[in-house]
Amino acid sequence: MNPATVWAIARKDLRQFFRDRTLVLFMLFVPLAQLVLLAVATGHRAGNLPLAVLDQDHSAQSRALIALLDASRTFEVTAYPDTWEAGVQLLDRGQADALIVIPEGLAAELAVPGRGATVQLVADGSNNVVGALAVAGAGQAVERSVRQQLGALSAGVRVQAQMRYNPTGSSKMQTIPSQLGFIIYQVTLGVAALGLARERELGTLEQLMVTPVRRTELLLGKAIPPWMIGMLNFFLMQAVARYFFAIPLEGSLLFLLAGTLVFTGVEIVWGMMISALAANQQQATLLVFIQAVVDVALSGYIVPVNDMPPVLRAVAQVVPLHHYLVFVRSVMLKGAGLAVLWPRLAVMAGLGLLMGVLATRFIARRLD
Amino acid sequence: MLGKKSSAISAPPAVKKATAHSPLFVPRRFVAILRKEYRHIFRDFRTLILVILAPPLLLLLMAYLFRLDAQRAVFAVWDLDDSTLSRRYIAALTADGDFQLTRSLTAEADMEPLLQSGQVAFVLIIPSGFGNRLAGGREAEVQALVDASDAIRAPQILGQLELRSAAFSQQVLLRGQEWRQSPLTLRSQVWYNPSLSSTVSMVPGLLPIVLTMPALAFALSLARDRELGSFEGLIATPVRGAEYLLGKALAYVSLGMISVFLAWLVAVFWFAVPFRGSLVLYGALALLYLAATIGIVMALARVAQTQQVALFAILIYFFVPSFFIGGLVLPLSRDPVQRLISQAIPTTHFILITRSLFLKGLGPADYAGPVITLAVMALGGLSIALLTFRKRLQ
Repeated sequence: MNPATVWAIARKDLRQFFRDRTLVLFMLFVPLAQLVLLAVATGHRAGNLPLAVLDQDHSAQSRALIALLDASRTFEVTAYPDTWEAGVQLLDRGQADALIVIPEGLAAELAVPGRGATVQLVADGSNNVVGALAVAGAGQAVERSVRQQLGALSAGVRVQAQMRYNPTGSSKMQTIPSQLGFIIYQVTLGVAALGLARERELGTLEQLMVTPVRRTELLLGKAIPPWMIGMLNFFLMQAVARYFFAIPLEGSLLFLLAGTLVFTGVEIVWGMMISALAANQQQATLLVFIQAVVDVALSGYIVPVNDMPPVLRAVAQVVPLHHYLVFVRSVMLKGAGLAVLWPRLAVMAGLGLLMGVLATRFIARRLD
Repeated sequence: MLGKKSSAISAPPAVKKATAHSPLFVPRRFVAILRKEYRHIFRDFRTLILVILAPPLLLLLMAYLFRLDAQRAVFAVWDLDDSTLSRRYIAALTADGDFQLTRSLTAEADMEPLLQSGQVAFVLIIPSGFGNRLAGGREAEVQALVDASDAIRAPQILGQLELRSAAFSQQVLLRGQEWRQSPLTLRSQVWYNPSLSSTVSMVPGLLPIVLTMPALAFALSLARDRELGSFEGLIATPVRGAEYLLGKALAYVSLGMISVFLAWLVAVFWFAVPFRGSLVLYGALALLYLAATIGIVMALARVAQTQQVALFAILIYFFVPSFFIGGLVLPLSRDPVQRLISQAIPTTHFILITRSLFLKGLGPADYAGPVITLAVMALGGLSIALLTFRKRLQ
């Protein structure tokens, strides 16, 4: 293998890349814009669900309960419908996520020891996450109200929480490191997946095949540009995270860089497999989509891997994106180092080597 | 003639001259473009499979992956009190299995590595004297170290912990009081999805995401015509912008409608998601959604002239944001700026519609807003595309 040949192939691709201004824009700056936009758009906590209150009691007690609901982390009281029908319509139209009904006679019932009153909650379960939040939030508020009734506000178990690694509970601290991982993932996989498919579609692959360039030289040469573009993205986004969003980097930058190098390597191998499989760029793109859906879903970002059924939990272990997201978050927010993270690195590197060997054979055969 | 790709590069100039005087829209030419596009899709079996079968297959796959039922959390405890009450407290926390105790710690140094490596979601510290204080009717404080690097899950876990602690306190408090029962109880009902099943909620929510595939295929095909030079061939023909764009769009919309119904079959018959609306209405609104996504792609087509750019434009505009800000999992934000951003993607609106149609069984009056927005997106995209379409080389 001749390094000069490899570099010649890589240089050709890089030149093609930088010549296309729109492409440069879309691969370097639009991802940055995406990072900023998503960080802004998800900069809220999962809470403050709009709550409609149907108060049929109009007493000091009912108002106290409403105040507790409104003050809770979960709800914001946004509407006071006059009738049950009006409340139901708010739920139907999605203008309220939950409706609470305080029955007439609540204050009277509460005045008699030993008697009890019931308030009713109707939650919208069409988004099950929202439904579960509403049920838990209402339970907490009612519980607090009971303590007020019992005059036992300062008794029982009180949880004093310390939010580690992200004391203010800012969602940017979570969104940005994870989105950074996703964006590097989508760029390297996308560029690598289209590389060979594009040459094949435009007919230039045949031209390359008749030159004395060897298969491995061609593959390595095609792997370098997506890798460089991915790393360029990494540095740009690190800068934005640090200087624009003030996300601290608790761990070592060098260590983060090393892990990113390993991860992008694995993704490029995957991308080139897709590229070899597809007849043209349209097919390659659709395959990338399917691959991306599986990877994102198993990455543990939306559904934590611990919550998955055992089979999926096992599959998630061979998804490099899952290990990389844990890696990035741990290094950036928790300051974790090799002592804690070596298993993640080892798995990524192992997957990369294994895939690399298999892919080189497979792709070389597809090229002939 | 148009069925063959890039065959008309050397078309006679006379044909080109005719373009200037030919009407803006001739059905025959429109049909010719449509036929060319169909032939391109049907020619390669793999493309056909990807265009028609990808949405239902992705839906099948994603619905299995998006199982958000169990909000399980693994935790470790450092019980310095080790009393009957502290053990009862831990038992009360773990009773329903959602909180799983994995480790009992004996030293402070054990805590940090567990949290750093993400092996536990939180560490609970029960101080000595916990049992005595509680039994004496005083407040007993426990400390929870929560891994908040996941800013979405951390408050949920904390909320659950507080709820369970409160329920436990109430048990302890009510004993020996004059109250035989709690003075105030909450009766919770969940509508539309009484068991809070994630399949029932996620399958209709994921439908809009998988149905962006026709728009993606359309974007790629527009870019492909430019990239491979077959667009140059079209320049030499009398085909006008409207015929070209609408002909191609119709090819993908019509195949997309097959996916729309295949995906519906998967949702209703495979996942047994209740469908409470009308199937005709579902078809009509899905058609509107396809039109909106394809309209937006058309408007973007001037920018995305290579397939690589088209891929990234779609990934960035439709795909990634749909998961995070479209209201699929997290509730839609009520902050005006954030609201505006999430309203700008068509997926957000169609998620509202599909969940209403499947689960709530409502009529269009109840989601008129999203329907109108999608219509505006479709017409707006088409108008921009027609106004900016240039049938010449760049």
